[in-house]
Amino acid sequence: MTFNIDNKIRLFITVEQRLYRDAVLFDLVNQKDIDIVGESSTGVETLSLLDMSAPSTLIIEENLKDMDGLTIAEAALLKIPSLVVILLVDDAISQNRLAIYLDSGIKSVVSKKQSLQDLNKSLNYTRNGHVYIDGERYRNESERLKSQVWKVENFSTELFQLLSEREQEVAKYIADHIPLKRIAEELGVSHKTVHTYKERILIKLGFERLPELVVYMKRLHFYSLQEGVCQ
Amino acid sequence: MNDREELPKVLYRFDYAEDREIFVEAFQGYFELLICKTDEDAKLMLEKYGAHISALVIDQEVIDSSLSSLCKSVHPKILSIQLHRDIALDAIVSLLDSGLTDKCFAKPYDANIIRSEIFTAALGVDDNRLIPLTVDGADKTFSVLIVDDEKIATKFLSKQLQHLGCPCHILVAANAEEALVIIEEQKSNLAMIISDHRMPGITGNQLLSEVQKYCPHIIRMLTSAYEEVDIALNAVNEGRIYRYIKKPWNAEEINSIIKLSLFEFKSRLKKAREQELNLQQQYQLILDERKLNIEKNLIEVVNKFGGEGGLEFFYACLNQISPLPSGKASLRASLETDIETRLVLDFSNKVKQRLLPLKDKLLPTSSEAVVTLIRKLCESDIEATQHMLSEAVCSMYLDVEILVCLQQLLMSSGLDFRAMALLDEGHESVLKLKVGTDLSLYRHILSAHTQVSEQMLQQQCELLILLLICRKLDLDIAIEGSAQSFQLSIKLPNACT
Repeated sequence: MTFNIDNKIRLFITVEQRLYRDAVLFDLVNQKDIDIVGESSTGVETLSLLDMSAPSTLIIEENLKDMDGLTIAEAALLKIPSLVVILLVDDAISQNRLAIYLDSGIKSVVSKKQSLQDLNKSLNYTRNGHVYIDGERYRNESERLKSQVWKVENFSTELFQLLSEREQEVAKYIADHIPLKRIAEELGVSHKTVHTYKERILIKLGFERLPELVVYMKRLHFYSLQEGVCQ
Repeated sequence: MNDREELPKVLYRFDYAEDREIFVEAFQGYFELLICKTDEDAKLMLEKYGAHISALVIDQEVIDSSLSSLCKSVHPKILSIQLHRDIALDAIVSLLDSGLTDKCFAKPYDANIIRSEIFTAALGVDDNRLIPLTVDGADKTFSVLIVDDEKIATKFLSKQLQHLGCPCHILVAANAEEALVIIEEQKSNLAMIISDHRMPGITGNQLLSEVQKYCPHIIRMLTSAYEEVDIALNAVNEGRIYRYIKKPWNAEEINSIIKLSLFEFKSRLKKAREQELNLQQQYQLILDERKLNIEKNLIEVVNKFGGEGGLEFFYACLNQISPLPSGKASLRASLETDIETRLVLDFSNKVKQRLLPLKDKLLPTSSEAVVTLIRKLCESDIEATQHMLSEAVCSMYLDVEILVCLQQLLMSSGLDFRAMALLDEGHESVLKLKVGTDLSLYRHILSAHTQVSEQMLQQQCELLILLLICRKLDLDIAIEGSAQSFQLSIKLPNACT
């Protein structure tokens, strides 16, 4: 029994596909309160590495080549009962199956169709060993559709409109990968001012890192094109 | 959520319209909201829907536990949540004492957490699973651990408690670090921990949250001399504390709390043991039926291939291996899904398909060819093994199929033939796993399952086929099982004999 009193997440990740595992790791590696302590592509190897890596959280894919992720998770929980397990499933699951997973000791289930932010949310809400169910997955169908429409509208207009004109301009430059120094020259302001704009943009849009802003701007561009086509 | 398409019902009691608006905005669509302005309305809803209500949310500034009390009496498993704008510490203490509130959130609340709590309750999942201890708790003297950096006060309290005839052994720690060492050593004897919050280093709240994760069966209580509402709320929601005791301590009060907690601890253990026993009994019935159905499907084809007793031999081998234990999840899977039908049908079909081409294979006159092949396989890498085996399966002799089965069993354990050794023992060669190597087997066809996995079915099928072929060829195969793994050895007669 190793107590994890500093409450840092000691993360082990088991995902078969290298590209997918890298994508998740690259997203998590910069978070200060997460230590990546191990990774694997198979279930058997995961179990053999548990003692050495002593993780507090295990993200494990349901369909592994050698054994199913749920069985491996249950075997891991037998070794480390306090382990927080987040199961990655291919698709949304029924509430029936969710109940079985949670009764097995899994703390949260995230579908591969959800976003990295959703996975982050599960990681944070389960860090103290509590179950976390993303209610959005089981929301009444009509309400969910309504909220999706709202999200798209909010995405293309309202959220971006939170930025001042100058900030919008800077966001567009950043999305085009123009260095901050050159943006400063273009706008005729100091490098420090552009840096402040960048920080403000991230805070207003709720992002932590630049790549999130770049992806957001690309999608914004894509949606505005789509709206143009629809009209 | 018995009918999985139906939204969980939440009984919501409010005082102010603006609170209701915020609540409805955050929870509509996720739950069927039964909104009540008065206790009378709430009682009517309770009468109408009873145990179909998953959670009671009380959004009132003045604490009145009569509605919670009524709800808990009608439906003991209902999740009771209190929402507050400005709750006093005394109110939290009394809520905990009443045992009628499960969670208490200060406003503005995080709707994600509350939604998750309600969904968890609606699914009937117990997030705070108790581990039934193996010892008989009825006669044992359990311990209470008191953690406080004020050593003199703790020593004095400890003496007073002894004088008052405290029913527990009293252990003390001057800080959380010391406490963690004692918990590690004494976890099977500890019934409860009473920890002060403000201590140098790790706080009492952090300590109790960790204990909740690692030893959820230990009853946790927090004490503090300060009015720290946030800490108390966090301890209730995260640390799942049983009591919050305000300082200064009163030995008599602490002694009576210890007595109450010990009673609660013992009844929780008893309940956990009863649930465990009940679960085992229910699962045994399911297993008996599964075994019967497998026999019905396979007995004829198995006996035809290798003579009578093949399935019994397979079962006897499986019974030596301890798979992952059954639990609430596997019982739920067997009772509420089609897992039992699928296990029987998918396994039976797999075995039948696998046996079909084997019936035309010839019995070898000597084991020379297969022994030579094994020697090569034990020294080859995966690619070469694959190549050799794909050539070998074209053989008309049955003994080569042993290697196909072994390859699958090795693969399921992340191994290949290099994990095996062929040892000459006089007139026979023994094929066995190298020292320190085991084959993994987490679940087998006679164990508890939470889902049907293709990998498990394949592993089980190959193990059965291996045993059947060895019996048919009169080869001595031995299986020695342990926890979720097994050792295997096959004796092959040497060519010269």
